[in-house]
Amino acid sequence: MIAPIRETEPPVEEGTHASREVRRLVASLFLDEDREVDSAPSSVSHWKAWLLVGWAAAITLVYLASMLDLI
Amino acid sequence: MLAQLQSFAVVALMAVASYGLGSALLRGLRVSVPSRLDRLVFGMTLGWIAAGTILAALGLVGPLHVPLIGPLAGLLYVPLIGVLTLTGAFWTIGTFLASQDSGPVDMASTLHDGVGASQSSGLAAPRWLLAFAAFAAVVASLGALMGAAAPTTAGDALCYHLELPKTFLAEHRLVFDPYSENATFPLLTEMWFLWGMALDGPVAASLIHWFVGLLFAGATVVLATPIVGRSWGWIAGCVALLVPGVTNQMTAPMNDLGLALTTTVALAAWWRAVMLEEGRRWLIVAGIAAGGALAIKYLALLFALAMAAGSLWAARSKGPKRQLVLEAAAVITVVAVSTAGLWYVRAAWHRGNPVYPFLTEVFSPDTPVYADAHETLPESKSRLGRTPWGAVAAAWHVTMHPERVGGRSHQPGVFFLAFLPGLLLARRLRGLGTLLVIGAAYWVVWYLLRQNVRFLLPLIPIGAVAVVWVLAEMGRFPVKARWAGMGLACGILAVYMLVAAERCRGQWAVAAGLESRDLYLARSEPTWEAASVSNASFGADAHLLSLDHRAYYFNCPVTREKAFRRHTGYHLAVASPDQLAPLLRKAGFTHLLLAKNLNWQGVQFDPTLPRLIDESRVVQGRHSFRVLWDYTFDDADGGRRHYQLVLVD
Repeated sequence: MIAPIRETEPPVEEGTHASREVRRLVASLFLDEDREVDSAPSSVSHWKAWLLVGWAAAITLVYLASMLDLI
Repeated sequence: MLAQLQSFAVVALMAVASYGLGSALLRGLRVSVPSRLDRLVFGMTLGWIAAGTILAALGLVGPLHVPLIGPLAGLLYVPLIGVLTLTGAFWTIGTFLASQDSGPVDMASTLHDGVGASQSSGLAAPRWLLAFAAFAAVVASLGALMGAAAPTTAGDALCYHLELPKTFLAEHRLVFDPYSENATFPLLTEMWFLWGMALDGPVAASLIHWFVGLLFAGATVVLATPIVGRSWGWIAGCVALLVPGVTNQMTAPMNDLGLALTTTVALAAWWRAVMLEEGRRWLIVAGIAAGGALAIKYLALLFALAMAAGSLWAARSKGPKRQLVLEAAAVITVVAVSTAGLWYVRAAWHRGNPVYPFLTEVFSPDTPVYADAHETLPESKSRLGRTPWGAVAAAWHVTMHPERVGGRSHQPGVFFLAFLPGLLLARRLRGLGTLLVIGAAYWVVWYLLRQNVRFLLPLIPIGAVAVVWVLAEMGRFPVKARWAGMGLACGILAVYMLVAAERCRGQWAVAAGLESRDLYLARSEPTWEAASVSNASFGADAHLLSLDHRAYYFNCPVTREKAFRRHTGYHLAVASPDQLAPLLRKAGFTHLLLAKNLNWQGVQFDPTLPRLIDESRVVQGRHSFRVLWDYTFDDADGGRRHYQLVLVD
């Protein structure tokens, strides 16, 4: 007799999507680097991309203001 | 115009000769360098190091000191250097032409080859980005060339980078001046300048450092290629060259770019030996380059600490790699010490301290110092504090307020702070982690020991590799964000380019030969007028005690008052005002150069000697310490300097 397949409960996901992303980013810093880049590159999400661009733009503006002695 | 052409021709000859010497070394080591760019960078760097070391050896214990030809040494020194240079250059050209005849050369290799796409990210940079970065780098280089082709007015250059080679050439040997604090520094770059000055003059020395800047950018490409691929490697080279501190350094004969070049080449060779496992012979190349770095500046010791951290990181996994890393550390150390050792032995011989004026607390604690004692870790080199959080915040201060730590002209710019955080979004790239560990370790020791933006130049290539990986990863951004990010990056590079081109606007006439060098110096160099009067009146027969450290344009020996006061405490020996003149005469001084800044901008001069002279005049009357020449000069730093050339009578 074949045993019936026991249904399992789906794993409980802890935290929000954003917090899981942050944990993944931090964890990736400590993972083994001895490998090539991912073979199937995934695109960077909008908010992350714009976060970097926004940061870079803001820093550049502050820098220019500082070099021009405006601040 | 002819003078300018001669300077360019001399530096071109030196470059060719050094390439020939370095190529011979590479062939002797049987190191396989398939790429033409790699061959150029490794060959030239090794050649410059070898040539400088040979000149230093000639100056120390070379055949010019054989008693038999002692009296002829002065006549032979310069011609010997010239003959060796010409021989080396023609031999190199002959070898090159012979290699052209022996078979076809793959011209595409220079631009597109490298260590292999399989070992790098394998991504090609957009052509338009590569073209833009190259255009910006070429314009910035030409801007810096205008500055380099003008007679230098940089303070440190006139203080010792050029002053010491001038003295060595005049004396035909590496003399030791106890009152020159820089006389026992590692002086490999100064040997390069000596080479140029022997054949031409100080402008050739400036052009050498400009050329070293180009080599530095090339070395960045060589370092980056195995990690991010050749096309992104070229962009990394352009980013490194466009850094404001780099283009500024390329305009003057200093040694910071020489240090950054040699540390980068050492790192690139270590990478080939250890990370790519291309053969242990690369360890010798790395050792020679590391020795070159140690022979240029003590700061290379800090980079050695960073490399040690990188080695530990690379050796963290057990196995054959760990053994290779340990072997690499041992071989590089032995070769580097053998290459640079003479400078440290020389310093120990003369000063009793191989790293004078640092660590005087350890090596020569009993030597009397009467003023301005040297400190290994002075407060002036730790303006950003020494706390764990400070090390992180320093990135902000270095970018936004470089004037607090060495000056805006030497700044690393905003590119790194703006884009390096993007590494958190980028995929992991093989090898980049090790490079970042080395960079982070250097950053920490820089923060703890020597907070000056000028000393961050060895870090620039590492930062450039990391930052181009972020740019490469922008290819995975949504379209609008990608274009915004790329546009911002290009905007920053464009500003860097304009700054480099605009910086030397005042030098274009003299650089093009339309203005005489003397006229240019008369309007640009504070000490030129005093030097002209001194040279016309006393020539080389006087001995000047000077408050200003800019000594190069004087034909007579110049001793800096600060160093003389530090080592002799003469000011303490003057019990009554009438003792000052006899004391100075007894020490051999015939004239004084007094300097005072009339406002609060720019450099300030010590008031001790002027005060003693004023007191002497009160007692002995106005006729004592007669003023022979008196003038004021409005300096570019905003200072209004008042100079007096005074007779010690």
